[in-house]
Amino acid sequence: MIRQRTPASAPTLSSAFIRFESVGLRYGLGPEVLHDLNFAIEPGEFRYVLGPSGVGKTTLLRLLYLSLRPSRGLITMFGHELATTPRADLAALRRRIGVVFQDFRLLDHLTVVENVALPLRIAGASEAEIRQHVPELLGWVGLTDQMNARPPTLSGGQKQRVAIARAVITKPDLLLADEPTGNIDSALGLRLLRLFEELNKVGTTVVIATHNEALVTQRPHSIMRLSGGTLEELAAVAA
Amino acid sequence: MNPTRLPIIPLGRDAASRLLPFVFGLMTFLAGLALAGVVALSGASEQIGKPEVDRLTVEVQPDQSGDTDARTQLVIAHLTRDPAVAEATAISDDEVAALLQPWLSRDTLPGDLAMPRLIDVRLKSGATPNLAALSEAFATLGPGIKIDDPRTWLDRLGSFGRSLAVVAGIIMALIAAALGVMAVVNTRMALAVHREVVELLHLMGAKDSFIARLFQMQALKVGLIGGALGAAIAAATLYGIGQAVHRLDATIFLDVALKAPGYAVLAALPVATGLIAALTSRVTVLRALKRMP
Ligand SMILES: Nc1ncnc2c1ncn2[C@@H]1O[C@H](COP(=O)(O)OP(=O)(O)OP(=O)(O)O)[C@@H](O)[C@H]1O
Ligand SMILES: [Mg+2]
Repeated sequence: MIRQRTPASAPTLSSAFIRFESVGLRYGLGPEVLHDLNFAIEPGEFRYVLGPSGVGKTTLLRLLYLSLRPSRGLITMFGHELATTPRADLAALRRRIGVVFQDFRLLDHLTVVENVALPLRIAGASEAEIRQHVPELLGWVGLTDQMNARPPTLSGGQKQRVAIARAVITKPDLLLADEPTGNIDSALGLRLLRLFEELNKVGTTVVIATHNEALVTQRPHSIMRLSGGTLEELAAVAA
Repeated sequence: MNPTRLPIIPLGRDAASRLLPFVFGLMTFLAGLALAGVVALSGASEQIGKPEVDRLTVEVQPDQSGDTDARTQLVIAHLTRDPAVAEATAISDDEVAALLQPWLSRDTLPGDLAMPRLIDVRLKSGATPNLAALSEAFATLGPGIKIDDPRTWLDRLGSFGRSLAVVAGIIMALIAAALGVMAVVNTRMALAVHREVVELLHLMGAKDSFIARLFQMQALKVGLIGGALGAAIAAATLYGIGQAVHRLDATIFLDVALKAPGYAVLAALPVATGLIAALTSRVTVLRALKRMP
């Protein structure tokens, strides 16, 4: 397949918050994992990406958090068409995105507090801000007693909560969560979803990828169902 | 909260990185010795370059004509005509014999040995005689008349010292280059070891300069520590050599002991080591990050 190229003169600004146009992705020279993705996400939406294991949910999120460049098609993030956005401006776009990685990606040599503080440090927050906000949020996710523990000493569910705290600490414009409740019992899972809902209420756009349909919330939301490498349907559900 | 903040990337903890300060130390030590060479040699050739020699000697070898005295007088006449010459006097046979004394005892000197005549020439201060013209004139008086100008070989010694100083300077530049290469190799290794952390920081929206600073500060620290170690050992070594030379009282060895400004430059070496390490490390990280999406 021929890789589509955008001429450098293409407009970089688009009114869309997030938009995928004919997006396809292949890893290396492999087959296309995703193809013909066309969708838009409006600010303030609460969206699920559903589909069976291996269908490409993580791959779709990686496109959204700018970890992969599409093999073809156009992606617009926060009004910036990515292919024509200067590399130096991408860091600022990434700072507007919080990610809960499926494999957490916590730093084992740092304490829980320092792990959660990391996005604040990257954003240049003051030590005072960090000292105030991080313990507060860790209290919210029930990790007050583990603040100075190292990730290798935590249980799977505790690690996941640290990962979630780290993703939301900067109150990002877009929150991406990849199987965020996979290791958590349903009571705690619902409590964490409540955290996502609270953030959504104050304006954060939330995209949750999961194969667990039981997680789908009460809150008004929409669902993108992946199947065979592309979107099967886009259903809006008003609670 | 945690009072001692942990580094975001745990650099410098793997076995290879722990050796790095010593490698930087060794490099700085060698650079210190080369630097001492530059200082000593350029200082020495500076002194040699303007010698306060106001004498030269002309040697008149006896020839078949046998009348060496007459030729000596002609040579003196030529010499005194040069405006730079203040005085030219023939050294008597006795004085020549006295000069030869250490090598040949008077008794063993055969009475009929044809001895060269030496003419001691005193120059007006700061004046330079036209040696080329004099040599030409002497050539018409027959073979075996030689001008022995100490400034010629002092000049040669001086320029030899200067070229040695240039060589020492080149050695320093090579050491600096090797240091840069070491820093690049170590940074690449650290990038590979900590690839996941670097990727994570990148995905979290850390600017390239933010990530580069983490590596660069570590390189600066290691460079300063290793450099200080190397410079200290170099200083001690040079001090020791200086003392030994002093005891020998052999000025021929030149002045290897650094003088005060030399030690100041030596103290600047660790800073140079740190800066070279930091800068090359920064450039290496920035180039690696350019390859990330
Ligand atoms: N880095 C990679 N290199 C090559 N192929 C990959 C890579 N990552 C994922 N894939 C392939 O892409 C396809 C989609 O993988 P992806 O991880 O996006 O699925 P998923 O929907 O997140 O699955 P799960 O629910 O198990 O997490 C899979 O066939 C997988 O083998
Ligand atoms: Mg996945």
